[in-house]
Amino acid sequence: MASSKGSSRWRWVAIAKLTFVMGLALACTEELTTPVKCPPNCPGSGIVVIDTLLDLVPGGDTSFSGYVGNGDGSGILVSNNLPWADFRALIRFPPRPDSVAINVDTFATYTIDSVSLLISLQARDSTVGGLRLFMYRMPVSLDSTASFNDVESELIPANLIDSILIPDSARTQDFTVMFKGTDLAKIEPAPGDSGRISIGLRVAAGSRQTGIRIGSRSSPTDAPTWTTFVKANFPDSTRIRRTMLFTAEISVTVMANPPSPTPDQLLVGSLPSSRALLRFQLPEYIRDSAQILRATLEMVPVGPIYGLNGDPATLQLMQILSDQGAKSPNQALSAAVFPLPNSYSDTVRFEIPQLIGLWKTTKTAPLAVFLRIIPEGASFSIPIFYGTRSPSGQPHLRITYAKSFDFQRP
Amino acid sequence: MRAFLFGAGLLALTASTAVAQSSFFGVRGLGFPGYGYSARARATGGAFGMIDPESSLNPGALVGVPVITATFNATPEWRWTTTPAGTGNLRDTRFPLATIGGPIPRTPFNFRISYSSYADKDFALASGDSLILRGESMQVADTIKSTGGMADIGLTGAWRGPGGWNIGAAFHFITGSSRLSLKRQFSDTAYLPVAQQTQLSASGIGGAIGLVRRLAGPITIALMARADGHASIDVDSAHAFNVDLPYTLGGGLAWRVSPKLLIAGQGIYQTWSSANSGLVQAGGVGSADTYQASLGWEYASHPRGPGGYFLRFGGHYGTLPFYFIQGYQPREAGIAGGYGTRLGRGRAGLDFSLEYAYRWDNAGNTEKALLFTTQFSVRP
Repeated sequence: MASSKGSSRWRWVAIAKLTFVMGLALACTEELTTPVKCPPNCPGSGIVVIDTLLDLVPGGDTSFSGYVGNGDGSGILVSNNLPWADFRALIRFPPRPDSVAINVDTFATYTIDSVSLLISLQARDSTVGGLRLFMYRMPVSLDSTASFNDVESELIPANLIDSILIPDSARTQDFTVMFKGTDLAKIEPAPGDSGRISIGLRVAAGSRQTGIRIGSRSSPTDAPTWTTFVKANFPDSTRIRRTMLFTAEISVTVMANPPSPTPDQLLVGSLPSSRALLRFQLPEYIRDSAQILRATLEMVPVGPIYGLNGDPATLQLMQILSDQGAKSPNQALSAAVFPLPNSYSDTVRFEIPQLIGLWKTTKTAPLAVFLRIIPEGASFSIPIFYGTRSPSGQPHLRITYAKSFDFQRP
Repeated sequence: MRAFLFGAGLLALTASTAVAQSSFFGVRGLGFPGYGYSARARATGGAFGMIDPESSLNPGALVGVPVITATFNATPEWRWTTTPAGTGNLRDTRFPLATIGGPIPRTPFNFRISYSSYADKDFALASGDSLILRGESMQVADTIKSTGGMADIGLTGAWRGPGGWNIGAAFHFITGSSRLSLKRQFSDTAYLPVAQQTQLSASGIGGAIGLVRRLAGPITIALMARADGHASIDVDSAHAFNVDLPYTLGGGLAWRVSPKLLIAGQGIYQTWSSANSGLVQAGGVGSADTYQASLGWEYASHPRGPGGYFLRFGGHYGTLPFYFIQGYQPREAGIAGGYGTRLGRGRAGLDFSLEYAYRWDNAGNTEKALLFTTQFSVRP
C-alpha cells in the first residue's frame, strides 16, 4: 500500500515538473502582432515624415584643377570629331642611346634590325566599326604643354608613319606595329633629336564620330612602348643580339576647345582633372532629433553630359576629412557614386543618407565633399554643374527625415 | 526555510517577466490592468479573489495560508483580435503571479511577498498606409512594439484577530518599464526604414487594507480598499509626466453551501478616471472608472483531507479603464473553469484554470482570449 502511494506521489511530482517546464518553454514563443488603424489604435502621435530642401553653403563650392595631370591618368584619349570635344594624343619616348651594353662595362655600336611600337587599346565604342588608328611622326619639341592645334597641325599625310586597323571585335587589345628595312627610316630619330621620337595619334572610322582610350605612360600594364631590336658590332657573335625597350616619357591628350566654365559653375573632370568642393549646412533640428531616411544631393548640369559609348564614366563623392580647400584630404572610399550614361541632361542625384547620418553623429567632421570623375584624367565625359553662385540650378540637399516619435503619448 | 529560498528564487527568476495576460486593450493608457489572481481565483472568474489566500488582491485573506507557501503561475494564452484594420491571431505566455509567504511562527501574523502585474504593456501593432514623398506614391508598413509594463511588488501582513476578524495590510511598490520600438518600412527601398525606440519607466507606491470575517453560519464576508497615489512616468530616464492611480474598493461574499461546495461572488470598483487628466495632458485618449463583478463556485472532493481534487467554475463581467476612442469604454466578460489537486500530503499543489474572455468597445475593436493558467505551489 505504501509503495502504491509512493509511486502515485512521484507520478504527480513528475507531472508537476513537466507542467512547469512546459510553461517555461511556452514562454519562449510569442506572436503578438495585431493589425490596427492608426490613429486611434496606436499610442504616440503618429510617424511624421518630412521632405525638405536644404541649400548648400552659399559660395562655399568651388572647382579646383590639377588633381591628375594630363597624361598622369590611366589612359589617353583619341577621337574623331566628337561633338562635345575632340581629342588627339601625343606620345614621346626617351632618348635611345647610340651604343648597346654587352657587359656591365662593355658597350658597342649597333645596327638596327627592326623597331616595334606597342599601343594598348583600353576602351572603344563597340558600335562603331572600321576603326583605324593613325600614327604620325611629331617634332620632339612638343611636350605636355602642347596645344590641340600644335598637334593637329602635324597630323598631315607627310608625317604619317603607319596605321592600325582595329578589328571590330576588339574591346581591349595590344597592337604592335613592326618596322623593318626601308620602313625603319619612318621611325628613326632625326639628327639633333638626341635619339628621341614623338608619335601623334588620331583615329578615324569613316565619317562617324567616335573615340578610343589607350594606355598612358602611367598605366602599369598598358603603357606605350618603343622597342628596337639590334645587332651589336661586337666580335662575339653569341652576344650581339640585343633589345632596347622604352616606355613613353610623355603621353598627353590634347583637347580642342577645352571647357570654360564661368566662375559660378563647377567643372568636374577634363584635363588636367578638376574636382568640385561642395560644402553643406545641416540645421540643428536635423542634427539633433531627425532620423534620416533619404538624403539626396541634387546637382543640375549646365548642359548635356556626353560620354563615349562603351567607356562609361562615374561621378564620385568623396568625404573630406579636414576642410583645407583644394588640398583637403579625403576618404579613400567613395560616399556615393553616379554612373553617367552616354548622354545625360537630367539632374544628377547622389544618395548620401549614410554620409548625413555620419555628420549627425560626428560633430567635428567637416560637412564637405569632393566631386570627381572616374577614370580621373582619362574620361571623355566633362560635366559642368551650376554652383551655389549661379542664378538658377543651384545644388541642393534634399532630405527626407522622420521626427522623433512621441512614444510617451499614452 | 528551503521552501522560502526556493520561492524567493522563483520571484527573482520572474522579476523581469512577471506580467499578467496581455491584451490589445492594454495598448493605450497605462496598460491592461491585473488583479493578482491565483489560478484558483481565475478558475472561478475572479469570484474567489477576495477570499483566496493565494491571491494578492485582499491583504486580509492572507491569514488563510496555513503554512509557508510559495506559488508560481504561468499563463499561456491565445487571442483573436479584430480591429477595423483586420484580424490577428496572437499567442504569448505570461507569468502573472508569484508569491511566497505564510504564518510567522508563534504569532498571530502572516507575512507575504508577492510579485504581480499592475498593468501589462505587451503588444505589437502593425498598420499600413500610403503616402506621397517627392511626388511618388508609396506604401508604408508600420510596426509599434512594446514589451514590459508596470509590476506590483507587494509586502503584505495579516493578523488573525479574535472573533474571526482577519485583517491585513499591504504596502505596494509599483515599478516597471516598457521598451517601445517603432519601425516603418517603405515600399520604395530608396528610403531607409524608420527605426526608433525608447524606454518608459513608471514608479509609484500604494497601500491596501483588507479584512475577511466569517459571519454567522456559512457566510464569509471580505472587504478591501487600496490607494495607489500616482505613477511617475519617465522617458529614457527623464521625467515626462505623472498619472494619478486609482483607488480600489472591493467586496466579496462566500457561502459554504456544504462542506464540499463553496459559492462566492465579488465586486471591484477602481477609480481609473483619476488617471484621465494626466493621460489627456500627456496626449493620451483618457480613462474611466471600472468595475468587475464575478460569481463562481468550488467543489472539493475531500474538504477535510490533504488529498482529493477541486473543481471550479465561474464568470465575470466588467469594464476596462483605457479608451481607444473617448466615450467607447471597453468591456470584458468571461467564463472560466479549473481543476486543482494537492500532492505529497498537501506539501505541493497544482491548480489549473482555463478562461475564455471576450472584450469589446463598440468602436469596432473586439478580442477573444483563451487563457490556460498553471499554478505550482509548494508547502514544505
